[in-house]
Order: sequence, then structure tokens, then C-alpha cells
Amino acid sequence: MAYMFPDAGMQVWMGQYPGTTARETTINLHLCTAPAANATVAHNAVLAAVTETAYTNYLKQAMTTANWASAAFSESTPPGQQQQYTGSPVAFPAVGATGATITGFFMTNGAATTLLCHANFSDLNPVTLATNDIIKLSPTLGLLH
Amino acid sequence: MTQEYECHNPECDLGGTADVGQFTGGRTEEIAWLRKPLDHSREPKEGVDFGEGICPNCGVKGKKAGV
Repeated sequence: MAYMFPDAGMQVWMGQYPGTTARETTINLHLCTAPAANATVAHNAVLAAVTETAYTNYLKQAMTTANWASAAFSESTPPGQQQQYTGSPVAFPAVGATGATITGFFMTNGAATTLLCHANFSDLNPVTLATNDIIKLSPTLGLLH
Repeated sequence: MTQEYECHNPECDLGGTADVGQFTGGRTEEIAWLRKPLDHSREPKEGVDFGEGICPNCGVKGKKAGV
């Protein structure tokens, strides 16, 4: 799995502290069809660097702070020690007439205007969604020691 | 602009457990038939069990977002 918290996204995270920007109490979880399943975005990427899927019935899913469990110690992948918040599983809408090949996922701020981070899947393979398929993600967020 | 819907069914797995799930479009007729009552008491009906605005994950009618 590869991930990137791009410059603009880091500014949002760090804007919470020590910065003084307005509190983000909701983020959005999106599915994407680009970049490729074995790639991620550049450090200076913006929202245009990812292509959101458009399969039938798709819509991004909002995640409020209530959707995250308390921080806890964990061993991360790749190996490292971290404090990790674990989100509850997020299911996306079942696919209607037209499916898609999902290469990864990304998060945006509450207004869905800033790319906070992008990641591909841990096996680096795309996921093909066909009619009536449902994809469910279990997001985690951590800070490495 | 595509109409967006929210599913307020607490039993539905759409979205996170603490949040309202969101979708566009609606449930397919195929999945409505696959999940119809086992006692065959009735058949799925357009606008009730499938179609625009019906949650694709649970089959309950959604609410238009922002309304």
C-alpha cells in the first residue's frame, strides 16, 4: 500500500494544530479510478490529480468524528509503530447498471474541495465492481512514532 | 445535476456506522427480485422496492439530500 498526504492536505491537518483554521469535523471518503492501482499522487498534488469514480449509484461518503474509535497503539504497514485512529467500516452504494475499476481511495475536507490524502489498496491491485457489487472500506489514520 | 439521496435506515450498512449513507440513482430491479420475501407474499414494485431514490444497499426509500 502506498499513500500520500499532499501539501494542501497537510496544511489542512496542521491547520487544526498548531494552525488556527476552522475545525474540520467531517471528512469525505471517495473512491477513484486514477492514479493507477500501484501508484499514488505527487506531494504537490491537488484534487485534480485523482479521478473520482462515476459508477452508477456512486456517491462519496461523509465521515464525522463520531465514526472514529479512540486512538490506540498499533504496528503499521510498512513496519512502524504508531498511534492509530480506526474508523468504522464505510460501505459505498451497490453498483447499478454500470460498474467501474477502483484503483484506490482518497479523502477530502468537509467541503470536498481539498485533497487530504490518497492511497491505493494494500495488495496494489484494482478492484473491479460489477452490477450489485458493494465495496466496503475500513479506514485508519495514524501518526508514526 | 445528479440528484443525491440519503438513506436514513439505521439497519442499512451504507456509509459509516455513525453517519447517514449517501447515493445517487437507485436500486436495480435485479437485486430487488433476488431479495424479495422468501414466502413470495408479493413481488417487488417499481418505486417501492427498486428504482430511482430507493437505497441500492437496503431497499428503503431514501430522502433527497438537502431537503
